[in-house]
Amino acid sequence: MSTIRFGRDERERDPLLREIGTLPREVAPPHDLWAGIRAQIEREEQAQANAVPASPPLRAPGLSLSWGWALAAGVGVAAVSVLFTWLAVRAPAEAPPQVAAQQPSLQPTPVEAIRPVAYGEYARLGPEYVELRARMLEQFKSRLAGLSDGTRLRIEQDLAAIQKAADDIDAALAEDPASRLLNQLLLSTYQEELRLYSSVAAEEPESAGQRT
Amino acid sequence: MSQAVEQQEPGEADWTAQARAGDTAAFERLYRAHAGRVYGLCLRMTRDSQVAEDLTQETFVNAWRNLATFEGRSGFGTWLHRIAVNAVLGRRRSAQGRGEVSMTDEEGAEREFASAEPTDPSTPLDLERLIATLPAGARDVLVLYGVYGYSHEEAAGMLGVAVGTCKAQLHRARRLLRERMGPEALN
Repeated sequence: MSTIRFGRDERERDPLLREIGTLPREVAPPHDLWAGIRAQIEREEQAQANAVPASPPLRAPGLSLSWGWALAAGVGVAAVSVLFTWLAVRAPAEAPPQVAAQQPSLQPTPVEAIRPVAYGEYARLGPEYVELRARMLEQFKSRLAGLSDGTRLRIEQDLAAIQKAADDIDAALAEDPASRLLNQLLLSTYQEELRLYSSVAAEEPESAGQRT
Repeated sequence: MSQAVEQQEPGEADWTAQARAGDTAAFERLYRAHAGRVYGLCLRMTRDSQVAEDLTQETFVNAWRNLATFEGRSGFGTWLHRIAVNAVLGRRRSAQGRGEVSMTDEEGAEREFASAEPTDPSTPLDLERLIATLPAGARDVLVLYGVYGYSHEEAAGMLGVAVGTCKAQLHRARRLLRERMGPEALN
């Protein structure tokens, strides 16, 4: 296989590339997309705001707070956040997901068996959040069915990571139910769950007609 | 060497900081400043204005969600372009996953390219049409490198391919364009 080398200034030297370089970089969209973008942002913000209808009671910084638990839960949520940052702005042609590479025989869970994150007794899920989550879950499942096994396994890993974070936080809340930090961390898991559904559903080409 | 001139609007750094703090008005200013470049990139990579609109919207929504991760090491426009390229490639992977005719069907695209109607590449519109008929891999690199001025390293990073692959795809794009345009064109 031959190696192709171009000089630094090939764009100046090659008339074809020079011509291509004069094409306008900006092309105005036929429609103003801002209203749709703002509406989607506001929907997501509203969903996050509705996740906890009432603020947990505040108290003096936890003399009885188990910082070991809090740290573990915080690390869990941070890891989940990193995962989703990666999911939303991931490298385009990254290597196949580790789980698929290491366990090629692993099959994804059937879509109908996928369940939302189960929150423990300290969860404060408002009815609007629950309703929105159910709608987003349906879109998520519909989209999931069309994805490759490797991608589905990766998404399941993400969902499992959120579940693990929620479980850890719930266990920590059992020791300190009024901890503001832990309640905020729990709120983060609600947000990350919706973000996962939204990220996956947003790739659905059929959603083109649902643009707002 | 990158020639991707970051067209930063005055006050853009402030808008970015304000948007990161949750100010949607500031984020709208960023949208107004960058929508044309993002849409142009999506349109050239997808060849479909409806899909390009969807992907532009998706790009800005994803950017809003991830503003906290924008560290300012690259320009905001370059960061947006990375998100847009990811969105385009994600859409292609989705289409492939469903077994739809793939935008990355290189063989089919090369046949399509060879059978395309003759065009006059001396006009920008026809040059655009000619680029649009290139196979996806070659077109992506040509658009990022040739139109938007990114370096091979930057384009390769955005597309998730090796720098050598990026160079090979550019070579292929130029060869195909020259074959289509004839020996007299742009020499």
